[in-house]
Amino acid sequence: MILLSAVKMAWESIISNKLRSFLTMLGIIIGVCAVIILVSLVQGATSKVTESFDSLGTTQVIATAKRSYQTRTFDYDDVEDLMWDNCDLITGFIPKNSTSATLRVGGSNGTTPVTGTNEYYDLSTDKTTQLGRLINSVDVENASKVIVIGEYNALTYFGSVQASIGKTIKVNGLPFTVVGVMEKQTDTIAQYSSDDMALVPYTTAVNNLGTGALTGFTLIAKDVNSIDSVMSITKKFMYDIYGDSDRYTVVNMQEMLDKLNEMTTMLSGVLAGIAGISLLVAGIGIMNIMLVSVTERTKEIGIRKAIGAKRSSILLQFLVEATSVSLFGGIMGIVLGVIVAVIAGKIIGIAAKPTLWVIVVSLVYSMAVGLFFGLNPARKASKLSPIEALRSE
Amino acid sequence: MIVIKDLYKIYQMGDTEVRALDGINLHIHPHEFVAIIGPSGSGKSTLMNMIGCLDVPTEGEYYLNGKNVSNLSDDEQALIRNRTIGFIFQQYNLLPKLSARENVELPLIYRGIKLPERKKMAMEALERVGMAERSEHMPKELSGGQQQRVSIARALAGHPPLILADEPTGALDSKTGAELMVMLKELHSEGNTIVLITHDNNIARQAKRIVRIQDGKITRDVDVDSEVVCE
Repeated sequence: MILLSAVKMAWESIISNKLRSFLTMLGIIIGVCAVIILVSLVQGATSKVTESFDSLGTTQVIATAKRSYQTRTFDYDDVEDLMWDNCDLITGFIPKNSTSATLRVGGSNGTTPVTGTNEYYDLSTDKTTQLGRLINSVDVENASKVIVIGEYNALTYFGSVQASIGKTIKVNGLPFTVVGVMEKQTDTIAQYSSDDMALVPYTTAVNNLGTGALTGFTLIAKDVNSIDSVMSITKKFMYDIYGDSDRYTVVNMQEMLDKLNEMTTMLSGVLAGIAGISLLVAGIGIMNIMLVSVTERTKEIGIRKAIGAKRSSILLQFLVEATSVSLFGGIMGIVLGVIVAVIAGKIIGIAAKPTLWVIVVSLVYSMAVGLFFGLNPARKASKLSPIEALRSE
Repeated sequence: MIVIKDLYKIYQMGDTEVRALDGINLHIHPHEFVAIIGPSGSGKSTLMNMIGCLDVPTEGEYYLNGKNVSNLSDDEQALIRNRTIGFIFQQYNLLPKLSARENVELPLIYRGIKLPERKKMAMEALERVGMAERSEHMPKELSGGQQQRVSIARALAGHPPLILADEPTGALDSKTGAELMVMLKELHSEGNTIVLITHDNNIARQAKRIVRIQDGKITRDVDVDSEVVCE
C-alpha cells in the first residue's frame, strides 16, 4: 500500500522534472542499448558461424602436420589402411591436397584453387554436384584427368552449367574432362568466391599438378559416439610418423565448435562488460541527481516525517524513485537496442539475436544499478531530523 | 493528556552549556485549550518539539496519553506523531505537488489506511474546515488562509487526540488570523485538545489557559477565565 503510493510519488517526481529525469535516464538508455546491440550481434554472428560449421559435419577428425614438419609426409595407402582396419568406426577419409592451377578454355583463363580428393568428398560437406557426378574411386585408381568445377568456372568458360559437362578444360596446360558442376555455394557468384573452385582425383593431383605428398587428411567418424576412438587412433597414427605430438595437430569439428563457442561467449562477455561500465557511470549519474533531489526536498522530507513517515517510508520513496528512473531507462534502452540491433544486423548481414536472456539480464542489471546507487541518497533522506528538515527552506 | 516532569534540554555550544529547557513541569488535561507563550529564544519552540515528539529531552520524563515517550527511537516517535498528534505549522507546510485532498490524505497513508476509506476521511476533514469544494486544487492555487485550513484538515483527518499548532496565524493577515482562531475555538468546543504556541498575547488570550515560558522555565501558568492577564 505504502509501496503503491511510493510508486505514485516517484512517478509524479519524475514527470515534474521531465528534462532532468530524461538526462538521468539517458545514461541507462545508452548503456542498456549498447549491451543489447553488442550481445545480439555477437550472438547472431556466432550462430551464423556455428551453422556453417555444423554443415561441415561434426563427425570429422582432421589431422594436419604443422607447417615446419610438412617435409615428412605419409602415404595415401597407409591412411586408407587405417580406415579399413577401423571400418567399424570410420566411414571415410579425405586427403588434404590443395593447390592453385591455371584453368584455360580457348582464349580465356584464370587461376582457381584445385583440390585433390577421393570418393569420400561428399562426406565432408553437404554440398554436392548440381549436374554430373563427383570424383569416384575409379578416377582415383586410374588417376584420370577428370574435373568437377564450380558454377563460376562453368559460367565463365562454357557459358552455362549444361554446356560444360563432357567438355575439355586445360589445367596447367593438361586437358581434363569436366564430369560435374558443383551446386551454387554463395549468392554472389564471383571470382575467388566458394563457387570458383575445382576438384580432381587425388592421384591425378599428385601426378600431374605437383601437389606433392599428403600433409593432412580428414577422417569421417561413423557417428558422434565414435569420435573419441577415432581421435585416439588418429593421434597414434600421427605419432608413429612424426614421433612428437608437437609436430602435428588432430582436432575434430565438435572440439573446434566448442572452442569457437567458448571464444564468442567470452567475446560477448567482454563487450557486455564494457557496455556495463557505461551503466555504472549512469548509476553514478542517478546517485548524483538523487542527492541533489534529497537536498532540494529537505523540507518535504521534514513535513512527511513530522506527520508520521517512518524512516523506512522515506527510504522506500527515494529508492522507488531511483529504481523507477533506472528501470524506465532500462526498458527504453531495450526497445531502442533491439530495434537498432535488428536494423544494424540487416545492414551487415547478420541475423541479430536479442535473446530473452540478454533482455532479462539488462533489465535486472539496470534495476540493480538504480537500487544500488539510490541507496545512499535514500538513506541520507531517511535519516534527516524532522526538526532540521522543517526549518530548511 | 500531557504530563511533563522535570524536563531538561541542554545543548553544548562549544564550552558553554545552553539550557533550552530548564526543568519544565507541565500538566495538560484532555479537552484543554492551552497557549504556550514566550519571546523568541525562550525555549518555547524546543518545548513544542518535545510535546510534538519531534525531539527527545536530555533529562526528564514526558507522558503522552499515559505513555512514556521521552526515550523513543525515530520510528517510534514517528508512529506517535502519526497516531496522536495533528500538526498545524506557521508556514502551512503543504506539499506543493499534491492536491489539497492528497495533502490531507498524507498522514493517513503513513497510518496504512486503504484508499476508499482514506479518501472519505480526507473529504470529511476538508468539509469540516469548509474546503471540500477545493479538494482538488493545488496549494499554489489557494490563498494563505485557505492553505492553512487545508493544513488544519490534515491535522484533523486522522482524529488525533492532540492538536499542536505552532504560530498558526503567523503568516496570515489579522482578519484571516481571527477567522482561524474562531475555527480553533470551535474545534476545542467539539472536544479537541489544542496546544497553541505563539509569541502574540492577543492570540494567546483566546485560549483557556496560558503558559508563559522564559529562559527555559515556566514563569506563569494561568486560566484566562479566572484571571485578567495584563502584560
